[in-house]
Amino acid sequence: MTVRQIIVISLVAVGFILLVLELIRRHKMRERYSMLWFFIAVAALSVPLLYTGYAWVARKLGFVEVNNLFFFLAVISLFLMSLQFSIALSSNYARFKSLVQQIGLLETRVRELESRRPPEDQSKGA
Amino acid sequence: MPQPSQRILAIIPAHREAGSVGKVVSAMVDQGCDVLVVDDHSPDDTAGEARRAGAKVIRLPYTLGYGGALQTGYLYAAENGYDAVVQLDADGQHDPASAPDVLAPVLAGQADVVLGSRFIGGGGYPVPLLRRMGQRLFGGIAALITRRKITDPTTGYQGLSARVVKVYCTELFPEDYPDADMLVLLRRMGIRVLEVPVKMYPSGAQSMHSGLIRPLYYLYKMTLAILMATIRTLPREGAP
Repeated sequence: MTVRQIIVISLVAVGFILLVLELIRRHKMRERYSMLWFFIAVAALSVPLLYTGYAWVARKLGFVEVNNLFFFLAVISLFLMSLQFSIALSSNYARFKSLVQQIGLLETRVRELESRRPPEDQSKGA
Repeated sequence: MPQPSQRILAIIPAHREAGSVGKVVSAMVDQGCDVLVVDDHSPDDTAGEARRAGAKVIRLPYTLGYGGALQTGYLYAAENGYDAVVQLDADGQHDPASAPDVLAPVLAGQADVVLGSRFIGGGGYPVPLLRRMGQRLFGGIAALITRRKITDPTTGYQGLSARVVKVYCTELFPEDYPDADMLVLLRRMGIRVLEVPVKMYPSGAQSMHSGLIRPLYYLYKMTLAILMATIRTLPREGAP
């Protein structure tokens, strides 16, 4: 691995970590969804430091090129993230549906209660 | 139709049904039912027309689809202690005159779910081939699992006991529409299902089996839903 490659990978990884931190600071990303992104950034940062180790793991797993191992890991990471988002979306839809139903029920109940109030009370509330 | 001591709720889910929902509501009010229209965020005057015809109206702030609107009606019925529910469509497809037939077995304690079938008793109408094929395929699979033949598993014309309404308020109830998968679930829960003939008219709504993608999605969704209904752990009834 060349020095230029080490510098580029390190800068991208550090920049990515800073971006995720900034998104959390601005409440644009919740902590629970940041973990996998941090893990990927730290893994990228570890590439220049542990390149020999990665090369050994690649050989043991049958990858001809160590880069193929990185591509494989990247695809797996993206797959896991998509899965996490699908689970979060499904869970959020269930909550959304329940909220919409409860709003509809409560609105109807409020309308019924208001229609039962004596006229003088209604004029006070107006 | 109902005994004086029995409280019946007619649930009518509606989306863009101004022009037809009023007639359905009036017909059900005339039968002595409380009528609830769940307006699935229609942009037209569905809610106003239903109110003027004598229905209570729940207007959802966003569109949830047929299943979500129906389930809102079940939640209302459970909260307000109704003894039985009859559900029918707002587009006039289901003849309100058949409501007593759908409710009678529930009120007599003979069944917890009564399905109004368009295919028995000669009360139906021609159904598009693809739709009929889908119904036959999954109805057949459900019949194999439940060892009971149901001719019209997708019918929206149903009578339900208070027990089933509580079950339908849970996450077991499908998000889009109940189908053969619910028959499998009901069987597993020991809930009694009965079919009665009802009068139905063709619907002007677009079929869930039209186009290319919809039938493929239906095939996938129903296969998965029946599998899940077979293997899913069921909650204990009465558990929160």
